[in-house]
Amino acid sequence: MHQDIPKIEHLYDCYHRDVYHFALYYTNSKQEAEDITQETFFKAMKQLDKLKDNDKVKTWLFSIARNTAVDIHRRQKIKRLITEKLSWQPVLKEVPKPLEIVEKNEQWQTVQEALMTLKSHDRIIIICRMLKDYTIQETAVILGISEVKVRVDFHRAMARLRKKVGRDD
Amino acid sequence: MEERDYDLFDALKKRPDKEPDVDFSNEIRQKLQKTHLKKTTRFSIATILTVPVTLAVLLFVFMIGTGQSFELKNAAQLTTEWEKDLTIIVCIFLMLALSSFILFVYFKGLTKGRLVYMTFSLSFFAWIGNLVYAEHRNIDETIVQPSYSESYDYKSKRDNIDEIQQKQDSYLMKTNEGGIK
Repeated sequence: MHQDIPKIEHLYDCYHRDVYHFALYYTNSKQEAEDITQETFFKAMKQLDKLKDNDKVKTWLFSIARNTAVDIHRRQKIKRLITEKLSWQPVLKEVPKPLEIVEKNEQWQTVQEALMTLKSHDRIIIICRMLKDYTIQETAVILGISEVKVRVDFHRAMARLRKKVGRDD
Repeated sequence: MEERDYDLFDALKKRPDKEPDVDFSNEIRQKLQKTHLKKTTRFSIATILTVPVTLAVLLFVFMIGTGQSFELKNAAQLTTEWEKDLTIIVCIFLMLALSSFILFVYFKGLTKGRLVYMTFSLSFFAWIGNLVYAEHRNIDETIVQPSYSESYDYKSKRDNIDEIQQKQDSYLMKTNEGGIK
């Protein structure tokens, strides 16, 4: 049965915060998260007529967000690397303000930094399962893998993260 | 999952800069609305280019595979029936492989795939163009004549050449006689 195609504005209102959160957790950068959110919705708008099942709109949108996040983050990484190589010295980070120094010691920062050291696949699984509370089925659709693989990879990713934050006892 | 794992992620869920800027959200929404209205054309340059190229490629492979309409040069023509059958089989196989590839790229619908396909199509076009050019150009090579110049004194030069020739002959005669002795 043919269902009405949802309007992009409606999708944006429903999911833009979720997409932004996902991108922010994935990149730990406000600028990149904004770029990912923007590109995700523009891509979604172009492909909206290809969406067959409206019930799967969330996973469909997040699989676009995931691909976009991986692409943009990789591009930014290469750009940073080239800039670093061309300038013959590491790019200096901004000097943190006193408030940021206090925040630095916060727990979320520790977890986020540990998350950033993980591989892209592991990071996405943890974001989907632990931070966005998606089901195993939804995560499997977003990542385009089987549910069994999601379970296995999730446990492995969690073990790696625990190790990074020093809780691997 | 352990309880302390949830504690860890609860802290991350509450990161202070989690929410997007309101200005940013509104800006994107407006952009989407504007672009949504503009979105009317479904045929891009890539589509306009790739559809006729696909047809041309298929037609070409079909002609080569079945009719051999492009008259190949004698050197390339096959002599036995068995070889001809083999050629047809290979060409049909190639045609199927090509069609599958084109369908695969189309159904994937990726920009990168389209780019690859366009490159592939253009190289095919170049190949066909080269073949057609090779078939239709005049291959009768003109006999290269010695160039003639009015300022060049052929007669005196000819005499000089004869003189040199005679000297060479007499020298050869002498050396041959010396060798025999």
